[in-house]
Amino acid sequence: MTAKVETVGKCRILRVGGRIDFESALDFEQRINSMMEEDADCFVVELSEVELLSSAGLRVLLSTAKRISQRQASLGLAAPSEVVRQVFEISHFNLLFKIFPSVAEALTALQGPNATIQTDEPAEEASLSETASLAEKTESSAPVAPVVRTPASPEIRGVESSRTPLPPSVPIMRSTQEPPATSPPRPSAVPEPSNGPGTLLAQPPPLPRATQIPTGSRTSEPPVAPPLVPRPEAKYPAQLEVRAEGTSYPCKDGDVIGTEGQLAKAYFRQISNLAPRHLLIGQLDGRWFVFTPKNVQHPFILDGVPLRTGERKFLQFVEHQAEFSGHVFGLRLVQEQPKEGLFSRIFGRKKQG
Amino acid sequence: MRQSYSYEIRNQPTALQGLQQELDLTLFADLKHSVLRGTILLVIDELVSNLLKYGFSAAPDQRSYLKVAFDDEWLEIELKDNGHRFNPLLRPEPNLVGQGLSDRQVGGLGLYLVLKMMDEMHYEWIQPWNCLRLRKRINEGCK
Repeated sequence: MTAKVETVGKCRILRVGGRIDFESALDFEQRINSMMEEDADCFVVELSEVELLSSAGLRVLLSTAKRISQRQASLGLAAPSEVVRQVFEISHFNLLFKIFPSVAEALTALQGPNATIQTDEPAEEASLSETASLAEKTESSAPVAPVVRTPASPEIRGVESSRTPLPPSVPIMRSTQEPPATSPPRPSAVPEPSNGPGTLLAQPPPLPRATQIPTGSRTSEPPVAPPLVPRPEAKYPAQLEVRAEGTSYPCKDGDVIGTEGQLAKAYFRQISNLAPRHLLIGQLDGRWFVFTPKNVQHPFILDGVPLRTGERKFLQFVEHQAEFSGHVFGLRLVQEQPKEGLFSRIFGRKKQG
Repeated sequence: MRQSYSYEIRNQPTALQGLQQELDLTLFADLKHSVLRGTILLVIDELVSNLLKYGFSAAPDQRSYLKVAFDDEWLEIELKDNGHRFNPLLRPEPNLVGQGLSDRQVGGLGLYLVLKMMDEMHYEWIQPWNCLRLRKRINEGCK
């Protein structure tokens, strides 16, 4: 897999090529994390040179989209190759993501059509010069260079009128008024009731209807940021639990997440590339913290920020979101209720003094 | 003209990497069509990674045989393994319809992608082998 990060105005672009598969998904995630280290309003992942995007890559994209939506920023996928487009259609990612035929169109839609970026250097990438109004700065990915800032934020407008119409063969990114860009009827598997031998033949599934599309998920308008809701602070004393795939796993001081850990083993054993002791969970003065040992190469991401190795991170909110290699799980602090004995419950609390 | 390629996959952590190198040297050296290559890569990556993660236990004698064949009309992929008995065709499909970003579960798409990419699927358990055969009709453009 190859990857290169560029900055254009307030957008960061990750150009990916090659195979995003089981082996390289972690590298892909690290590249995305690098892209997201710098503050930016929008992020674009360019996929024209991607030969394979497996489910491991889809996981990374989905968790990235969730993180970006928490940051009130926007994410666009640009120029997917035919193979990638097929994968998006089957997985319905084309209904979840804003997908554009080119990086230039993604930038126009996400930044606004009149975004004029003041840069010190001329544009270097030919493909980005498609948008004449965008002067840009192209930077190498490692180390991540500071984002070139505009003197004032570019105006964000509706972009329907300014977007280049797509050719009919490109079933990506339509406005909500148009019929959904769905895949042609594909064969679907109809499993046999028994576990024995069986042959499954192609059967066309019903076409998805417009009502099945999540509202607002495919508009090309710049997303309207939802109002910021303050995160509720945790109230100590509290119990900590890991929440994954609908199950809660109570934590105790000294728990370990990793291949040697016993906490939520059924969930964490699905995650490859975990270190034996990837994340330690502990309590200090009654407050919960997580700790990443120094030998861990790829720390968990907590609330969108990679954890630093060798440092305790105290949990201060009721809900925290952790992720690794495309797997997302929650850490929730549940306030402890004061324990009352039988007599207290019957006769009331003993009064002090 | 029908072309056929066979590979053996051992129960080793680096098996998938090794297989991909072999594929590059053999099958993909001959096959240039990007969509067909992409389909084969995806199917193999999902099936073999799933097998290495869940299908095999610690026994080193566990192994798998992969066969990829294609002619002007059909692509066929056969995977035979002596890991845990598992019929992927009976796995329930993930619920993808009408789910927004926040509702959407991360993961669970690998086998679903494989089954949707192919046109015909056949599974058989022949003690101690899981035998999975997948076929895809090749479009005009893929030849």
